[in-house]
Amino acid sequence: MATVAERSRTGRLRPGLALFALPSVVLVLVFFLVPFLANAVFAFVRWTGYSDTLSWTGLTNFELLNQLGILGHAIRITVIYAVITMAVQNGVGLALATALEKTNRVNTIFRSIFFIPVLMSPLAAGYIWSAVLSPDGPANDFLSAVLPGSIHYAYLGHGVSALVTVACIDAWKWSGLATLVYIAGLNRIPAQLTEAARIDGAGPWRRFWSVKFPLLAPAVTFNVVITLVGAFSALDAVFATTGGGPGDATTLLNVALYLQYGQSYFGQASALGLVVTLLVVVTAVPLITWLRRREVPM
Amino acid sequence: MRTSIRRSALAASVVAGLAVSACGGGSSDTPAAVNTAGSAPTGVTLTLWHNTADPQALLDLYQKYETASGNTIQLVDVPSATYPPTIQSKWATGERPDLLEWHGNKTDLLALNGANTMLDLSSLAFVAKEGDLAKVAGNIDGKVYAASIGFPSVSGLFYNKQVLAKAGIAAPTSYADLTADCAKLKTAGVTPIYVAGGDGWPPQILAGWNYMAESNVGAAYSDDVNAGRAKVSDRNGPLVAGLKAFDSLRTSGCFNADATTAKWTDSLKALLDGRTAFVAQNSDSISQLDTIAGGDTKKVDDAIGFVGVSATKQLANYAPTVLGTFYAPKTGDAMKERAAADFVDFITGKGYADYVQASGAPPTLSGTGGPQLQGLWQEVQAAYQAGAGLTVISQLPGFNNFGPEVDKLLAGQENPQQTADKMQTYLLQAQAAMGK
Repeated sequence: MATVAERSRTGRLRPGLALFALPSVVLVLVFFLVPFLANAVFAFVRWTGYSDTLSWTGLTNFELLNQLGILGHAIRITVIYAVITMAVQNGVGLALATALEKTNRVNTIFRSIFFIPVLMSPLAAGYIWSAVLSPDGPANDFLSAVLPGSIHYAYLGHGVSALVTVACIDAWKWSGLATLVYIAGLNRIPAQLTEAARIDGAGPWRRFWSVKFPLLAPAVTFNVVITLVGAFSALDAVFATTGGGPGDATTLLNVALYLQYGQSYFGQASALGLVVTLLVVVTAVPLITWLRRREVPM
Repeated sequence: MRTSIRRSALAASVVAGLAVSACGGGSSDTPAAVNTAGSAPTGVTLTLWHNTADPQALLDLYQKYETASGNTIQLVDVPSATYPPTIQSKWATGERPDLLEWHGNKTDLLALNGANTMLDLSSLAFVAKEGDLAKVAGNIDGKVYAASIGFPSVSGLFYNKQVLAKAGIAAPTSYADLTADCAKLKTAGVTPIYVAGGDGWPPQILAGWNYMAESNVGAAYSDDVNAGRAKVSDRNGPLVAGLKAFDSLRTSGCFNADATTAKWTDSLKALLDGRTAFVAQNSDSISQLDTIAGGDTKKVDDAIGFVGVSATKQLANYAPTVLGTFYAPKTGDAMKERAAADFVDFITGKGYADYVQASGAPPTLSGTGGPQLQGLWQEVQAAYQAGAGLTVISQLPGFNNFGPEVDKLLAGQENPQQTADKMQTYLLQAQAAMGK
């Protein structure tokens, strides 16, 4: 990376150094910018499998999606899903990180165990959980064994519980990653700060919330934004568990996009893709700005 | 002002031609008849996009064609669970196989722009032998684009004979009967109807296909809708009535408790085990029932019966199937298109008799004797031959969304009129996409 001095002499990167950036620039152009632009354009084009003629339609794709009750519903469900996923993932990740903060043999083993779901295929994780949570599955068997009565609740069969359950499965899948980021954040906090607080009489709870948590802000920024943006783009966990159901209770934007694409409505699928992008931008930019402001320099 | 442009023109003006330019893939605006001139080429490799649910009889047929022709069939496996979206996604990129196994429904053929992307097979010999089926299977405006050797999917009610006997009821003849039977079966402690909403598509059979069978004999209702003489959202129309009947059964507690998550195979197991009285399904379920019974077809025949039940009378409904329905897409490669015609000739000619015997299902082409059918198949065949109506979604563009919409009704998220209104919008959307 060019130093500030190298940059300031010419006002721009030296050609030799710019070459190092070329592969990344090409990859971003080919695999992100061009598809993004294509998707943005097709959102305003009538493109279906029914005809080999494409035509500009303005906002018709969005209007049709709205008329069918798909657009508003999918946005609402996606936002709820993302907030639940983000909250659970960060809550669990922070709790685990606090418990496993110190590096020793036992904690290393547990860190590895909690990281295993991150390495699993999301589809495999979804299929496993849908089997575990089926009305006659192990989860209900366990509850029936420890609670009175026979429990056969279909966790994925009711609108609200399905949405919460799938969001929790997604959070479970990625909590290990959030945990690692929080552990890294905790370990970079100078020990003398918490030690000083302890000498001043602060208990563990107070030391965590008044000393450690404010200094964890960069890790919080990273985890909150990554988990939220990741959840906005979720598809596989839903696909493997509910397929968007029951009814459309878990039909996130990407699920709706897949369904539209599968019905040969490629323009409308592109419109939903554009909405996902806009949702990410509209949410992530202010969120990052706000979270960065509350970061405390060490 | 809306500007209509060709794909290539759009491609040139947008994102340097990426993505769009590939979409044309061998299609043209005018229908093309299949080429049967001269002798068929040999030594050609033909790609065939096929469904992984293809029975062994079809897989054997492909091999027999290879032996007979000297050509090679390169199978491209497409998982049955995601067959339509996968094919449509590949299609959208402009990719074309030399042969395509695809739904015979006009609804699905329109979604591939079949009139412009498939070869017209009307001149081939099988069309006359296919008879009335050729008028609805892979047919757009009288042109036949598909050879359908798989027996149509015949839908109705499968029932457990012992469960009905114990409850003292006969097979229903109408939805009113079914409602009355539901009350008796609940009293007897049996789940009256097992609905498999977890797989998405099964609930629509009870909610619309079966109920509307009597309205759509000879495609009468779907013709009216396509011609604009009727709307599917009509308050007094058969679609709304069918959805209301389904919703009434749901709210009366006639379905299994896990109706929104249960799978197709769960429903068939429950039926065979006697845990439920009825499952609304199509004849593709017979082979699955046989599999669940460990191949013991007698056990299946003894336990299970089939009856077509529509709104007010015993009548089944049928739709051209995907398994065994073949198209020859336009590829622009004359030699391969000629070889594709040769493949269609073989599977409907020299190779057909062996295939029918191996399939265990009734023949679709006249002049060929069928195999000895198991009892349940005989009941299905009888229901088909008794003037079954055409499955309503078969000929209505946009109606491949009927399953997902019925799932919302099943989950209590919509009422019947709302579901019908959505279907009317889907229909108009598809018609608009077709340029109507």
